[in-house]
Amino acid sequence: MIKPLKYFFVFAFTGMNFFLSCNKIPTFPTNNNPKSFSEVFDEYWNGMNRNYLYWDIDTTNWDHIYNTYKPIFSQLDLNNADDVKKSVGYFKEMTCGLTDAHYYISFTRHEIADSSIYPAYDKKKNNSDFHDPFPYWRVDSNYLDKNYQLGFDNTNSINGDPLTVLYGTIQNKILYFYCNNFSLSKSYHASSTNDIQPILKSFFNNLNNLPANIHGLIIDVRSNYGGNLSDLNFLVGKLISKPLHFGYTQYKSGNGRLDYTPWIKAIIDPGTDSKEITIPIIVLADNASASLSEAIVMAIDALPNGTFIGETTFGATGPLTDFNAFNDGSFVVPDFLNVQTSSGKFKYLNGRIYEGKGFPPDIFIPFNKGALQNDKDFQLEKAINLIH
Amino acid sequence: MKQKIIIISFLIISASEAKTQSTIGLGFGYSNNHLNTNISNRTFTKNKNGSGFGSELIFSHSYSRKINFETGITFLQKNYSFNRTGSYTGISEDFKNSYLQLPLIVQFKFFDKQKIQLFFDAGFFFSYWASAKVNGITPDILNSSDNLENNGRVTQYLQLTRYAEKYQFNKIRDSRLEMGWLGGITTSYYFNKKYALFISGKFYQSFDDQQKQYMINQVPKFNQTVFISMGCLLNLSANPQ
Repeated sequence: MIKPLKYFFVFAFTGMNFFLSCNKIPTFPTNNNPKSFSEVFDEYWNGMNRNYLYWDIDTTNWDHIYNTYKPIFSQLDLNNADDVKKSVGYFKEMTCGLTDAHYYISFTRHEIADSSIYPAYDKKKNNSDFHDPFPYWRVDSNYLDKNYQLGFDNTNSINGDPLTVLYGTIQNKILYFYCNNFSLSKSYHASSTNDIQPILKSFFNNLNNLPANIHGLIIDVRSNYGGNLSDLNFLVGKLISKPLHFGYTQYKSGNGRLDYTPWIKAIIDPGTDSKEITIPIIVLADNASASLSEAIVMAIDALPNGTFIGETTFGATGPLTDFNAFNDGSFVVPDFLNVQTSSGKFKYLNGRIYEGKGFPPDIFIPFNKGALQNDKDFQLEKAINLIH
Repeated sequence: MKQKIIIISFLIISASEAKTQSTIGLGFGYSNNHLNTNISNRTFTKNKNGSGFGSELIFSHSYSRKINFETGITFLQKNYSFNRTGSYTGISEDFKNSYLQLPLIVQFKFFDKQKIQLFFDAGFFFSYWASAKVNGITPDILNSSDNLENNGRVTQYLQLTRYAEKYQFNKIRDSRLEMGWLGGITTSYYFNKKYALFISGKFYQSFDDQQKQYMINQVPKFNQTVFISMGCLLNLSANPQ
């Protein structure tokens, strides 16, 4: 054989063997129950690496976290209660800068079962203008005409507070609707009767047959932590007669940190027989309005007749659902911790992602606890004045 | 990179020393690609081969009676998809990837009778990930509704939505240059000394991850492609007889 050709074949087959030997696909460890802190760390770090949504905009350097904390966790003893307690502090350090405002770690290990980590709340509670949720319905019922309806559903509660719905008219000119969480559709469709069903029927009937004296609609989602995603169509769908495009969602599409689907249009479908509400719609929200409340706020703000009054929202705009739906988001490190994190990213119509920052109001009216304690709600009053 | 330069140099030197016949050809065919990766952690998900097409412009130079060098330009689709299974059936994501490829092939003739020639093909290829499209069907998380089931439970249903978009390359993530080895069999039928038809089957195995090394514990993705093509060959140094 001619010399160069001989070299070619020798080179080709040597190279082929070399590259084939490099061309290995790693298998994932199946640590159903991590046996050491090193395995706990690997499960957690890889779970975040593959399932967390915000790596493209997050300022946390996840590789740096690996290089820094892997040796630290390797030194800890999973059978030593002090080390187990110490690990909570390390998890807190690793996650303090994360963008996702839904991000929450609860520990299932018995020594630290009472510990949790909520980076977004930890960041926000230090802001001077941050306040705890407030039960506005106690004050706002004073603004409503006498025939208002107030209902509670204890079967659908968040943080021990039952679903609370307040509905009525203000000066016979404005429809007002308040709810403290979003389990409206669940309550409405429940097989057993509850307080919420007649209120919602009354509200939806009025929306479908809007009385001539009604000049505006106020939807109040202040201090509403969100809830079931189906309430977005269920509530906003009653205000529109054609699909409403109000933003985009994006999900993970692979195991790579930057493997994402394209941005997909977020559409709200109109409800059956719903009519377009053309009177001014004002949505009230505050900095404790989170998750689905923020989606409701952004959807109403996307309407040509929608205005948002109040404070910048909490900033947990990414929707949450079961891991299996998208193969991303929340995951578990068996026998140690549960991670709650967004299943999708949300981008508003204007192309901005408000995760971790919150959606700003069109008209800013700050929370005023002193006034509220004296039955004065300046945010609601601004909304009433704007409609008049 | 050094290895790539050495291989190219070898072939250029070898080809320049040859003094025999040259052939050009044009072929079209079917491609079937598998993305070799690990998605075992992704629940209810199947990594499915993608069908596509390809076309090739061939330059072949006979080195001896038994050996040909072949190169050319190949346009090749390396498609794949991830399909959900079980209760998620109907959800999918299809990637249609177009590559421009430069193969460097040595053909060893092992059969030559009655106008029919058969070759073993072996070599390397270099390719450039020119463009891609991604089509999918996914649940629309913000478009869901509740339904009261017969058992009294309320079940949430997510609407499915479609998307079809040009794939946005990411400079941090995507490695658009690919190198690999290839092997295959080609058969040609010569009508006369100048014109021939060929059928070829080749397997392309990428050495390079489809992604740049941008994170710790990265799961690599390698294209493995079968390309079956047929077309015609024109011998530039012969007259038809």
